[in-house]
Amino acid sequence: MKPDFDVAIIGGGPAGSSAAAYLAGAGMSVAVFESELFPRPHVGESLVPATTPVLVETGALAEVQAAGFPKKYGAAWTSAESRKVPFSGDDGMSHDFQDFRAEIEFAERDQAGVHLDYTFHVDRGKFDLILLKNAESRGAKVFSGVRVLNVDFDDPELVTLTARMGPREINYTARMVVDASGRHTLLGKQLKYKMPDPVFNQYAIHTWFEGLDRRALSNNPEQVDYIFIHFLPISDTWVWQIPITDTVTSVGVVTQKKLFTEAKADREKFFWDCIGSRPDLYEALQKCERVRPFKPEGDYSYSMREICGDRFVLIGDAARFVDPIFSSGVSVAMNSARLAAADIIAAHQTGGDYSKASFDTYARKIRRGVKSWYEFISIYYRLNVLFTAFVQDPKYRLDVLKMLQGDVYDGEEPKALAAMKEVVEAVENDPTHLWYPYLGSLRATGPAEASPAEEPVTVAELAEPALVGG
Amino acid sequence: MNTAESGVAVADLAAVPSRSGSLHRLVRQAADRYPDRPAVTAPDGALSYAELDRRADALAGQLAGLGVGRGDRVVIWTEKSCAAIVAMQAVLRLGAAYVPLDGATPVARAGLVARNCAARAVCVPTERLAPITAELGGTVGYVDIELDALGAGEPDRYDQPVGPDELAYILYTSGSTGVPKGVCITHRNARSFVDWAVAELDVRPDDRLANHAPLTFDLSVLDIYAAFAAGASVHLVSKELAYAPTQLVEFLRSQRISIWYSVPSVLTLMMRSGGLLDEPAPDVLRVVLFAGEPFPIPHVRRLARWTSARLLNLYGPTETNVCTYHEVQPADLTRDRPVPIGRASCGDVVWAVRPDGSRAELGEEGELLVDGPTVMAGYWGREPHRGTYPTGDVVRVLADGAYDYVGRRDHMVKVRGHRIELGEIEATLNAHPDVHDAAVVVTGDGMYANLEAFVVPVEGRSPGVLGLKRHSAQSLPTYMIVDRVHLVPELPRTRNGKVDRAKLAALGGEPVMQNVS
Amino acid sequence: MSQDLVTDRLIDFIRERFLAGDPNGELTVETPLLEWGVLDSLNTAVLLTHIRDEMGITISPVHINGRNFATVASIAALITSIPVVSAS
Repeated sequence: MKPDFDVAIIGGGPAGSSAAAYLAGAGMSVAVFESELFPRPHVGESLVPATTPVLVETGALAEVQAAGFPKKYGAAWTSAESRKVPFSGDDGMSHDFQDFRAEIEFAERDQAGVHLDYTFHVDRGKFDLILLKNAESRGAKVFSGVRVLNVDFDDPELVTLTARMGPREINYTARMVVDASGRHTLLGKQLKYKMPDPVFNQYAIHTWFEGLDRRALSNNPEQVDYIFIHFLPISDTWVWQIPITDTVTSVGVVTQKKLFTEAKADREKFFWDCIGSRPDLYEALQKCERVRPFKPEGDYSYSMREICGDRFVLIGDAARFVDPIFSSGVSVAMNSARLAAADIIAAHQTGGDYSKASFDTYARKIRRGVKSWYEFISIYYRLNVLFTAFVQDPKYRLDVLKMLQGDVYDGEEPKALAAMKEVVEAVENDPTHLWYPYLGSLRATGPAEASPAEEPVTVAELAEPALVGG
Repeated sequence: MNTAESGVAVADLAAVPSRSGSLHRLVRQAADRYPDRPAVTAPDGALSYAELDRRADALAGQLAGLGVGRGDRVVIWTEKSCAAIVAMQAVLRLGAAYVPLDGATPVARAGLVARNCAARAVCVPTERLAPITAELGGTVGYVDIELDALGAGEPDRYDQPVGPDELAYILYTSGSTGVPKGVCITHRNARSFVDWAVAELDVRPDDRLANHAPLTFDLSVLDIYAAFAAGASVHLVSKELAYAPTQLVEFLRSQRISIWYSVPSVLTLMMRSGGLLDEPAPDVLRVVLFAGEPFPIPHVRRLARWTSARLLNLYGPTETNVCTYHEVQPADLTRDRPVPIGRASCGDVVWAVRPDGSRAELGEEGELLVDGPTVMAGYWGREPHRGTYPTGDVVRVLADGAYDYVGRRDHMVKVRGHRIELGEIEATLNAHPDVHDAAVVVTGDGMYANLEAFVVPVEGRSPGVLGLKRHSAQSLPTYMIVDRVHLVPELPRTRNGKVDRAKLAALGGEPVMQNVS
Repeated sequence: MSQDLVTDRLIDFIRERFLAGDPNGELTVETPLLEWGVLDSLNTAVLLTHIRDEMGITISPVHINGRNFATVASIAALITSIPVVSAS
């Protein structure tokens, strides 16, 4: 029996639509099943430059540039030790105060495949719609408002998707399926591959504000449209500040699940209590109008025992998500689409063998890339003042910048990472170290990356997010 | 009636109105018993009880003629004077509430307060008649209190019975921006405090109480009414004298003050610059009370060495007048911490609660709550206050129902992730031999804050930053050692005599090591 | 660079930057800097930057502990034990 499509893609977000664009562009018949009607709101609004090559290759860049999203030239982090310090300038005069924070500009480092100095902060509703339409224009068939319920792998030659369309359930067949269902992790749950992260269990609550005076919060007019990450004096808690338009700013608090749960139903009060520890931000936000409801996001840190198998591949959030701190999400989504598509197209062109081994390269590369992200994220939470120090140290700055640009798939372990781990270990073992009081509570106790060979197989509770032990 | 107009609803009209529990009863009683004893001494003269009594009736008659009656408000906007005291009594005798305003209050604000409380009349000295009339027009009546209201013959007697929950006076917060807040004090509130003070201090007819505090500050309530309750005399300290150290000391001695009550910094001023300690303490001085801010132990020690008078620390926000008290004991003088605020007074009940509302236990800290007869009726124009009053002060629970003041919730700042009580750092700096006075403020973003100290050095000394850091390190954790030190000739103060922290915070920034000359 | 010269430079910098000039001349090589709150984690970072820029010596954050930064003397000893690396 001839299947309906070569490839069925579950989910039309950046991962799914990018994969569809690559595959359709290579002449394969592709269907994308998106359960919602676009445009729809979605978290994950700040991009990193590693998304640019994918936008170029899938042909979406022109549309994205024409959409007028705020341009992101860099990022800034304020840590627990950012204080105003008096300093004397080079001209021998004593200047007023210099803010002690970490900031980087993407333009400082050349990045392969990236010709722009900037990337974007996006309204995901608009952005995702652009990418999905782009996939359609390349020849992918897009089903909107159709939710895939389950995938049947019984037949060794194809896959059968059961999808709900309105009141009816309809089956579609394909030679293989790409799970780009994001945090719904359809196949991860169905095949019981999903494992909660042993370390990270953060929660986020976010919304949009109209009228935030971003100029007032930034010292430097050139950084007005940077993403700002403000670390709070509450353990493992930080706030994102992302420009969405000239007048709208996305603000989100990310914190330990435990604190979030203790806040119980009053999420709004919790949000303001956290923000309250930054009086400048609090006052600025109080003057604004909140234009969206508070949206909580939780249980988003997990990995999959397998990210590919016979006739299936998991990409984007459906394969792995760690933490939003370095804005890696959309980049991982789009780059995993690129890498997976490469393997899928190769398999298609060499006879159509979609068994697991065909996706080896993808699996290896994406795991390595995410591992780098993971380690940086762990170090950031563990000792964020170290991060500030490394960004400001000329020896390591570019290394850190490389990671922040999302340039993590070339397989080289960043030098800065090894040096940072050494410092963390030194601090952890020396209570007299000046940074000892700043150690965060998140501490990796197991291997950062689950791979079948190393990890004892434990099947965690999958239907409901499980509580994770330390 | 002070019900629905705009103000605080009378709590319980069913309570039997009486004369005996009223504030104005006190002068009437004293005039009956001690007509010729001195009642008030002020810059504008002196009055015996009989004189005070007659003049109060005369002025009450005038006010009655303007339509002032039970439940009304009358603003008294004048400097301290016998005339001011007379006016206060006159208003009370009509069953109305007086609203004192400091002489230094600008006319616009006086008008604002008068409108805010819907005053029926305003009492002013002659020179203020024109400005206040221009401000308020025909909406209120005016009385020039400098004109002798006494005519020929005896004035009618006014002695309106009032319920315990009817208002005696309203104290508006001073110096604040925006909408003023009027603390409404009932006859029961005032009498609970006054009666307690008279009993605790054993005030007698031959006592002479100084009144240093402005009439808008509730410390003055003890000075004036404890005197009246006992038939003693009250001696008003004028504004000119109030911060002139040598003249104050001269006043204390020449007026043979037996009971002194003021904020601690005034006593410190008198010791440092007024030569208070240069001569032996007057025998007649038998009680010194202080309230309003922590009194650094080194200064208390000096005072205790100089006089054998009883030393008492009184505590309470304006909203509860005084609710706790502590008499200084020898053991207190060896502590590093300021004197405790002690245990409940005036029939009040006090206790401390943790943030979750549960009761704090021995050794723990919590916010102090007050309930009882001194708790105000409420703020003018707002919902009547019912029940427990949260003071916003953090205390530590000591044994036997006593408490130690830890700090204002808003003086407990978070600096570099640590909760810090600024008063503790100040107390430590104050203990340095070269430091006369110190205040610490936080500057910069709340989270990324710096601790800045403003230090008034001892005459002729010039303490350095490092020396002060070393000294602090001996008793404070590292994160409480100040980042910057500014040497200043004096600390700016608000009208109530407390350190003006807002002004200091605004001055903070670049270190200033001035020559203090 | 000799330890004496390093010591002098450190004393000058700390006095000027963290002690408002130290007009009473209270700072010595043995003054307990951490204990007395002269150096904290932020000031130390400023100091390290100064050492790197002015003396060409990069001190790894690994070394920012209580023993090494206790006094001017101990910081000078740390600095002179590290081979000079150009700051470029």
